[in-house]
Amino acid sequence: MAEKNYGSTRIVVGAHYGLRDWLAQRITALLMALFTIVLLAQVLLPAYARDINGERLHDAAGNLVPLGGYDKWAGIFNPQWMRVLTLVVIVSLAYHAWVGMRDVWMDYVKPVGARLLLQVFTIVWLVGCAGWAIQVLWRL
Amino acid sequence: MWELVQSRIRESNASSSFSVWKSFSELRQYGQVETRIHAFDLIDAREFGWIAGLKTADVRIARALIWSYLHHFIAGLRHVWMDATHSVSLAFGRQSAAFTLGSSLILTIALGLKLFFF
Repeated sequence: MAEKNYGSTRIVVGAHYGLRDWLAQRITALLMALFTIVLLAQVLLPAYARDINGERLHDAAGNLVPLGGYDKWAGIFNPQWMRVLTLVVIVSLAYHAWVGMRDVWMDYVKPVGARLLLQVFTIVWLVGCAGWAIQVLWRL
Repeated sequence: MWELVQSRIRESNASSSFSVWKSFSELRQYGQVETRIHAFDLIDAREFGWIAGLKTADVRIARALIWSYLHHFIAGLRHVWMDATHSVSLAFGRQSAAFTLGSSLILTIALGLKLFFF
């Protein structure tokens, strides 16, 4: 017997991309939330200079050497795991923004030509920003 | 000054950021802290030195961006929480919206102080 096409199993859409995008937006959001917390913690907590082996350095008086400014910022993005997490977040951010902006264009822009133009501009903008961010990340 | 920095880096055969840092800490001992900061801007911090040169209007824009990011972040957590726990009451909606607005503003102030004053 065929699946009944009413009630809880009624097929209301064909492509199912609504659920996929909804889920993708939540998963990318959680990845970005994790990154935000990790980054905020590292920015707000003090950092100290380390040697190549990861041991904390001491000055002549035996005190730890606090890092600030660019040194601290570069140190945050130096570990491989932080670079990988940042790369994942850049891709997540672009996809998250694409789902959100596409919803906005679909909801509020009715003329098909203008909507297509705005969607193409959004894709070009997001790919450009992601490429730039990746360039900054690996050059740091 | 710039030549001095370059020669220090050559002397220390700098292959790591640590040896560069070490050569700069030597310069700091000579009481050339201010020059050290500018020299660092030129070497590693080409992209970073702009923070020191920010104007008041730029700082305001940066604060607005930080606020919009944090507000979106906390509002997103609110959505994930509502999705996960099926919290759909009007009371929860109002309370969590107020919490989102308040906590994002407090975090923005904290981060703004941290970035631009300390």
